[in-house]
Formats: sequence, C-alpha cells, structure tokens
Amino acid sequence: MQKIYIRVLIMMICSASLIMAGCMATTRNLNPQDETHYDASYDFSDKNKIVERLVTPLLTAPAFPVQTKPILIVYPVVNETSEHISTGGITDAIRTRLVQSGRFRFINESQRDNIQKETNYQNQGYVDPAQRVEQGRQSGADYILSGTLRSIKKQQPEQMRLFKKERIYYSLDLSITDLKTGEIVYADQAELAREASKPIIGW
Amino acid sequence: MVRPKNVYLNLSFAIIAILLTTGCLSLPLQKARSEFYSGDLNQADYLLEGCKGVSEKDLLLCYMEKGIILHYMEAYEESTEVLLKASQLIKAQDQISVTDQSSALVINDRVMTYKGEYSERLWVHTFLMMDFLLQSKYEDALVEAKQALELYDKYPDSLAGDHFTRALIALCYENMNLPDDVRIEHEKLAKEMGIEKLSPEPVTHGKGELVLFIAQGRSPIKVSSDVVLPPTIRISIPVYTDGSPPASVSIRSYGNTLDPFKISTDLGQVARKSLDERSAQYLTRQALRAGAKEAIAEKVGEDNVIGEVFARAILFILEEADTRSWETLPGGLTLVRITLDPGIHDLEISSGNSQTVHLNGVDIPEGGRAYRSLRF
Repeated sequence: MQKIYIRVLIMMICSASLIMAGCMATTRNLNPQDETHYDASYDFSDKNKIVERLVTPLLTAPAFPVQTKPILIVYPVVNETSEHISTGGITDAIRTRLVQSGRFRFINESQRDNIQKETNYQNQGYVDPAQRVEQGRQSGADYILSGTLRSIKKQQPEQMRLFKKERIYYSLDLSITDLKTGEIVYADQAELAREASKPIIGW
Repeated sequence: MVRPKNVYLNLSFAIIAILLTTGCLSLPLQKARSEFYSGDLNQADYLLEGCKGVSEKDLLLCYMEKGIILHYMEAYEESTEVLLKASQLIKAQDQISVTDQSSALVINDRVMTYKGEYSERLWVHTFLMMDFLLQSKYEDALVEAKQALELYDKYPDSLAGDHFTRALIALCYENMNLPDDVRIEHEKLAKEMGIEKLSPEPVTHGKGELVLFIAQGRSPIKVSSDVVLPPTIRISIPVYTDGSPPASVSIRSYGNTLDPFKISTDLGQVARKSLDERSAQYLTRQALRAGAKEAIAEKVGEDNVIGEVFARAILFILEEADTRSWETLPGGLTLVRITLDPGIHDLEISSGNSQTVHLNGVDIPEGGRAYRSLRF
C-alpha cells in the first residue's frame, strides 16, 4: 500500500515539474553577429550588415588619404522608411568603426552644449589657471557624414491563400560632403531585400 | 447516458456565464468614455490605467480610447506611446483566429477579439501623425503617414472619404522637403474631392504657418439592428447612428476674419462606408451561425420539446450584434493651415454656433510651422 502512495507521489512531483518547466520563463544570450529575423522588418542583424557593407570600402577610399586623418561631423541618418527605426544606432556604429580604424577623427556634436558648459565653468575662476582648457581652440570639421534610409514594401495581392507574403527592400545612402566646397566627395549605398510569410489562419 | 435535465442545467450555466462575461467586458471602457465626455479627462485616463479590468478581447479599444484621452490632455508623448501599442496590436491581430471564429459561430460576434474597423485602423495613424507633429518629430510623423498610405491602398473604397488624413499625409511629406510626394498626395486628394487642383500656400521666406487640427463633436456609435425570422432566427447586425457633418470653422485674428486653407472629414460617413465594406464578412458569419443554432435547437428538440423551446429562447437571447467601436473619436476633423507673419499671435476659433476658443500667444517661427490641436 505504501509503495502505491510513493509511486503516486513521484508521479505527481514529475508531472508538476514538467508543467512548471513548460511554463517557466527562459532567457538566453545571443551572439549579436548572428543573423536572426522574426519577420521582414528591420532588425539589429540588418544594422550590422549595413554598417559592415558601408564602412569597409570607406576605410580604403582614395578620397581620404591615410596621412590626412580628416575630421568628420555626423548628421543623423534620415529615416524615410515606413517603420520607426532608430537611425542613431547606424550612425553611432559607423562612427565607432571609423574612429577605431584611426583613419578619421570626429567632432562630438551631441556634446557641444556640455563642452560649452564645462569650459565656461573652468574659465569662471574656480579651476587652476594652469589646468584650464583654453576656449576657442576646438577643431573644425572638414566633412559632413550624412545618409538616408529608405524602404519599399510590397505585400502579396489579396487572393485565396494560406500565407501572406511580404517583401521589403531597404537602402541606406551614405554621403560625405566637403564643408569647404559643398561637394559630395564620397557616396555609397547598402541594400537589403527580404521576403517573409505569415500564416493567414492562427489560433 | 446523460440526462436531458443535466444538459439544460449545464447549458443554462454556460449561457449565464457567457452573458455575464460579455456584459462586463467594457465596464472600465464605458466609465472612461462617460468621464471623457463629461470633461473629466484625468479621471478617464485613470480608469484606463494599464487597461486593468479590460478584457484581452477589448484591448485595442482600450489603447485607442486612452490614446485620444491623452491627446486631448495635451500629453502627446504618452498618447503616442499608447497609440503605437494599438498600431502594433492591429498588426499582430491581422490573422483569422480559429478560436474566435468558432466561438462566434455559436454565440455571437461580440465574443471575438476586437480588431478595429478599417477606418479606425487608419485613424490610429492619423492621431499618431498629429501627436508626432505636435512634438516636432517630423520623421516619425512621416513613418505614420506611410503606414496610413498602406491602408489607403488596402481599403481604397472605404477610406477615400477621409480627406483630413490625406491632407495630413501631404503635410508630413512637406515637413521632410519631399515635394514630389506632396504633389502626388494633393493630386489624389483633389481627385477624391472632385476638384481640379489643390495647393496650399507654401511657407515662404519671411512668413510662417499655423497648423490647426480641429476636432468637432462626437463620432456616431454603433447600435444593433435586429430582424426576426421564423421560427426563432434573430439576425442582429451593427449599424452606425446618424450624425451631422462637421460644422464650419471660422478664424479671427485681431478683429479680422481669416480665410485659410481648410480640409474636413466627416468621420461618421467614413466609418459607415467602412462598416458597409465589411458587411459581407459579418453577414456570412450570421448566416452560418443561424444555421448552427437552428441545428442545435432541432437536436435538443429530438429528445424533448420543452427543451427545444428553452434552447431556442437562450440562443435567441445570445444573438447580439457587435456594437463595439472607438467612441471617443470626434465627429469631424478639420485641418486648417494659416499663413502668418513670424512672431506672437492671438486668434479666435469658432466652430458653428458653439463656443469660441481663444488661442493666445501662439509663436509662429520664421519659415516654419506651429501646431495646435483643439476639440469643440
């Protein structure tokens, strides 16, 4: 009799464990370089691909000889897609790669107000004169780096079908403009196209 | 062998439970709507905090109502957040749900997840565009404009009457300096309005523009229209109540009446057209449901005549049209674009015979635009 109770108890524990394991929230680390897409829309894998595609040729572009180390200022990539995409992530990644290459220097436009605040403070008499940062010595940009992200979306026309197909084409046009002449001295384009399908019927 | 008495008892409990559940679905929503129209916007917002107490099936309505409440509280950032959730939910729900369809087949359409009428789906983007423009987030407004255009392409007949949204889309393109797209949208709008050409005055050097989003009245609500056929078949379909077109808007500045560029939409008219467009869907379901209910009643009647009467009565009561809709929407929307000199301006805006709103201290930037949203 006691054996039966033990068996029942073991079975109950096993069942409870299985149910709990099935319902448990899980987390796992992903490699940011791995390509993962849940649908056709833009995601972090696309960002990495676009950045890689644009930065590699720029590093060897003859327009910017190795010894010159030009100074660039980054203007935000304009989002002309039909999705809310944070294009700041693209410009930040491009800038990081270019800074790390040692071929380019960058003006930190987003910190201008803070730089002004800090240098004003230093020159108000609180900081040791020998250590004060002299005002009016900031570097000026030689070039503007800018871009536009666009997309073209096409959905399968309405007809009898079990899956809804969607195709999206993305393009990022990157350009570098010479501040002195206003001339575009470098331009490149990265493209991505993807098709995804979604079942029309679900639970 | 199951006793018929037990079957009826179980059926009664099930039906009462369903009736109670469907009846309680929208309680916080109803209260919030009533607070909104009585002018207590804070209370309306509080009632929909986190959409607590709102059924999963009505979640879209909760987001839509809360989005509008926050918009008219001038909490544009929060309104954007909620309406973006509504937009995502619409996309996630773009599937035929087997569970929804099967329960609707024996109960009614009210038990289905609310997916929004085609027009309501468009107006989520319309309000998002307004929210983004009021926050000077022009790129984001353009994203919403493009999503709205996808809906215009998907449901051209239902949405062609919404001139306000089309003019807003053109404005979003204008803000991003995309003149070709502006021209295309104005051409489409002129065609839809049956006029030759439409071109609002561009913002020139030394001038500025005030853009007003004027909402008037209350959108019509859905009511049930019933038809009874022998022996006990009840057909219950949703119809929109009658509404009046938006009243004319007049704008005065320092005693002078202005004649700006205006584009209006009667939201009730678009909503009715949109519902008509979907009629084939719910009428097919009605026909299938009538057949299924008749079969259930006849099956029960094979064992017991009283049981059949009882079953027919319950199934008759259960037949209820899905009258859910986005009720805080205005009855009309008017886009007004006024070219003004840069600087501070005081304006008086009146709608029909209702009260006048004073817009004082509006700062018009040189070569730029200022935005305001009003509701009468």
